Amino acid sequence: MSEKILHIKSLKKYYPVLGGVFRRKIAEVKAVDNVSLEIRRGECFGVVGESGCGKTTLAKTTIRILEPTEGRIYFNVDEDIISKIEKLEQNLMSERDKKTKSTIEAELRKLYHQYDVAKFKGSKLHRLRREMQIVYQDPTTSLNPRMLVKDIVGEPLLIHRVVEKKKIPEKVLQILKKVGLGEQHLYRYPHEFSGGQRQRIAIARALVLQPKFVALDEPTSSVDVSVRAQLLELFQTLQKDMNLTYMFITHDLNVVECISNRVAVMYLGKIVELAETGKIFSEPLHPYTRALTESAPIPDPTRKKMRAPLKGEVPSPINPPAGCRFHPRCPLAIDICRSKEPILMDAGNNHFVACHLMTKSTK
Amino acid sequence: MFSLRERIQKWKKAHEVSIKELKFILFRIRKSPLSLLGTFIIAFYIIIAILAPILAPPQPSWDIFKNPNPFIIPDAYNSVDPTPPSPQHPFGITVEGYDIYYGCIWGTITAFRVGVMVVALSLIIGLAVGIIAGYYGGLVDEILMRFTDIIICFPGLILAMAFVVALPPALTLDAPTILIPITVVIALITLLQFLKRTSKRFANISLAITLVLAVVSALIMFGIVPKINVVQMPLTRLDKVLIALILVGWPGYARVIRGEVLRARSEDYVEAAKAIGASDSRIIFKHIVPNTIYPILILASLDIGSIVLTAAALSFLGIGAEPSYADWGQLVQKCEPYMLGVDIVRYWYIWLIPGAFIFIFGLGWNLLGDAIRDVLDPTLRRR
Amino acid sequence: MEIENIVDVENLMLRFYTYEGIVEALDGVNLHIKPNEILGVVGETGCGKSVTSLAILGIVMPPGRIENGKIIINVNGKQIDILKLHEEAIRKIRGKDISMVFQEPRAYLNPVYTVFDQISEVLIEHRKQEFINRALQTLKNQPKKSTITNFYISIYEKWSKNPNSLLIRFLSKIPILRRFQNPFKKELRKEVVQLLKSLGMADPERVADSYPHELSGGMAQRVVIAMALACNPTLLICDEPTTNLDVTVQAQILELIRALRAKFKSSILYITHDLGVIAELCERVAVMYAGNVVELAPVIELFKNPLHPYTRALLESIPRPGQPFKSIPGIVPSLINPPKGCRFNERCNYAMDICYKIKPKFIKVKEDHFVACHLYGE
Repeated sequence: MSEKILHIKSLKKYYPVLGGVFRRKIAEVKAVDNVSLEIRRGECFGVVGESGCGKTTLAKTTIRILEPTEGRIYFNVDEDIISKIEKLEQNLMSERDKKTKSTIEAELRKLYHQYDVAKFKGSKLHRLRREMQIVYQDPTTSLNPRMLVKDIVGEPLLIHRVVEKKKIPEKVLQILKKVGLGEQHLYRYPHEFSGGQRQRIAIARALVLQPKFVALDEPTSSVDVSVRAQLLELFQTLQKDMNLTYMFITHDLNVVECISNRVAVMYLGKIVELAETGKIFSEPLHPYTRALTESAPIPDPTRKKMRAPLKGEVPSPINPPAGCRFHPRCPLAIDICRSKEPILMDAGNNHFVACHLMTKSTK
Repeated sequence: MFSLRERIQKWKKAHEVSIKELKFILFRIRKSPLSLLGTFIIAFYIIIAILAPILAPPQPSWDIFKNPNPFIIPDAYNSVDPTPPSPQHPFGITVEGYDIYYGCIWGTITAFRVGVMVVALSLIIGLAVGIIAGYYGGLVDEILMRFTDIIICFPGLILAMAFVVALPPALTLDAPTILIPITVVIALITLLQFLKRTSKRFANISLAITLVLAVVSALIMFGIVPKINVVQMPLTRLDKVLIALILVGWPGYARVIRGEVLRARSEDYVEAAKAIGASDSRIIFKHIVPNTIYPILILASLDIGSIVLTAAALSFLGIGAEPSYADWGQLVQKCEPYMLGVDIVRYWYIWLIPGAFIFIFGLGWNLLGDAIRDVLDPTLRRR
Repeated sequence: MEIENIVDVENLMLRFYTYEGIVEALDGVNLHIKPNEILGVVGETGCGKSVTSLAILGIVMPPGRIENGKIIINVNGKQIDILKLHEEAIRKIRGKDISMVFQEPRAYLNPVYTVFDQISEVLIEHRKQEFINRALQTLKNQPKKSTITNFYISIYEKWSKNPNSLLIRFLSKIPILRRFQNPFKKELRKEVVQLLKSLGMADPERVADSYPHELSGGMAQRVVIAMALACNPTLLICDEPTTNLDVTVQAQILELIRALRAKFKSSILYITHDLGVIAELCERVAVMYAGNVVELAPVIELFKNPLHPYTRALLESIPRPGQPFKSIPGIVPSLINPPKGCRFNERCNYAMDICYKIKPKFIKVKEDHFVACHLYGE
């Protein structure tokens, strides 16, 4: 078993904007633009960013609810296979001879077909659903209002025929107990529960198949503050209990600081910084991360901040600024930031930043 | 295993949400006087329909061998002149000697029959087309919706008239007639499969079936394989009216349900169902349909009123039910020669009484329909 | 001399008569807002904070009904009980002395009118006389007066004496003749652009001519704030205005609110569920739970020394890195059949017998620190 459970390589998700008389593609919304990251087994990987940065799209594309435009996703694949694929890709780039090129391509195609989640179809995709799951932000809309709790949580078992029909109620009860609900809740409808309990039902549904990877899309954003702590504690317990790996998406820096091991900060479809949680909050390198950590209000009135907030607003992802996408709002922008896009590079100690100033990347 | 009471309880629990909604609708209806009026009108008609054999017993003395059908109005009063209401014939007699009272009572059953059958069948077709178009979108949606639009383009009554006249006197379902629609449907399904890029296996099977059917149809059409008469079914005039109204009625429902399916398709729980690996048919039947059709079912049942009105119009124009059939529009049609002139006042009972039945029937359904539409309006649903 | 409170809410009781039952939304709410201060109201979903602000504005819609209580506002030196006013009188106060900013800005802007139209609507409603006079002044100050200008001056003088004159209203509907309103509209536009500029908009002219759907969330919220501040209100109510906005935009808006408070000298009632925003922005805080104000204190005092068990639990449940998560057990009780006594009794660690029987009174425990809890008091 490899240490890394998920490898995402150069993932892109573009939405075409149709216009004109013939509804042709006139522009593209670059929701996720060339994102690469790796998630270790058993870790809680946080993804933060503001609206429009692409974090939800990233999660949904990783789970294959949305189809990626480009890129490769390797889930639970051995490191040597991945390095083999990468070597073949490099060979393909440098190879001149047409014949060898087509053989390499054929082999790559075979490997992609077998391992690349982005290309899964049909029954492979169906089986993937057992391993990768998602919990949505708003439990009110993500649960079918006309289904009983026992049906909602039992549906995945029914679809994948993991156990026989008779044993399904037993398994449902098992997972409900794990999330803190009980037998009396089986025959009820979602609207009879509070927000926090509904979210628990959604969690139970996601975990009933015992997946290995769960994407949590802002799971605590639509519940009250007092319930948030309950849910966060539940997430931690379940992670230890069931050996889960999380991709925790949120815009609330406070929450991500408490629950995740590593954090990636996204802006307009790109990752601008990626490091361990402690490092990101104690020494944020990217100007955007700094602005985020400084803007978040602290629940301590004795530490009132008198800083100048970040100017401007997040630009539209259809027409992102040239060069570094953050440069129009960046207080430290220099000339090169306006023309050349910075690459995500290691600034030391596995702390990755995409900023010309930080990594001193020259042309 | 479970006793009857336990079974009922389980059923009640499983459908709690729908029952609660129904109760709420009834509660709101009780509050508005007009909707109560509508309810009473409908109830009144239902009672008449149930008690028809008692209120207007079919006369056994004549026509018992020729017309055992109680829907044929007894015609033994060979007086040519219409007779005004008298104690023997409470609503009068029409031109050819038909008893209006009898016609109106049994016409109630005809009205319900026409209304319910047309609504039910056009609902089934409309729902199927609308759900598929709404759920799959893209090319399938375009094809189905354009087809729907073509039918909607025509004025309903005129198109219904055209259908009634064009339908053959007997429906012969022989081999090509059945095979060709089936081939078309399966071809569409194959198209769907290819567009959806599902697993190759199913797509190939569908393609194979399509090709086989197409070949067989072609062979039959060119006379190489003999035609087999599968079914021969004579169509009465009323049957033609029913079929015409169904063909004209289904596009409306298709449009409406498609809109609802489009809305439901973008809900989170549908996406969540996809995320746990539910198949398309599962999502459609278990997630989308229960959340979209209840309001439409209720609203469709209220179309019964307007369907009956249209059927009456067709009968009045002479292309509806047979001349001696117990149908309200039919009775009004008897007055047609007297429409222009002073006789219309003299023979008031021929058009006024069946006409009143039609009018109040439509009114009742409309009042009820308005009330339910108000109740189901989400903006007014402040419980 | 004691400073008069701008708003005094005493024992407000509000019920919603719904199909499912009677919802006891507010059960004796006590609040007061001092002049030129920012009062934060914090509480969870369903605690009644939005409904309280609607009650202060006098827009409680059926099936809601105010059963009891007083809402006394101090306007222009006079003390008025909102609950005793009828619609005409309240309408004069709304938008002028008390105004409100809502949570979702684009839902509260009319999509078919430009920003200029909507802000000038507020100005016309309450400050019409002022603008007529200004237009008149500008016309009179023109060095060269043409016949039209003289004609306008005579119309405006008539208008200034009787702002609601029937003749003027009639004239304003006739297509060509209604051009006489142009000087008036120019004055309005000047004021609107000035207002938008003071709210930190980069291009106020362009924003004034845009429609709400062309604006981003932050800009739309600024427009709504501009509308609220157009008539220099004594009290500005903000109902979770930044909850739906990004954290950087939220920081901008909070900074803006602080600056505007200093400039316009209004009091602000800020409703939110985010304790961070409360700590950053507010000077005094009211904590609400299930239809009651359970604690009211200055912000530093509240965070340092929370008295009510709910406030304590709320502050402890804020996630802190490296520490285990603490949450409040149980759920908020249903307000259709609320628990007897103190509504927090089921979830309280310090509940005593009396908490299940008698509702605690809202009393002053320390200087400017009020609590409704049986632990403190007689």
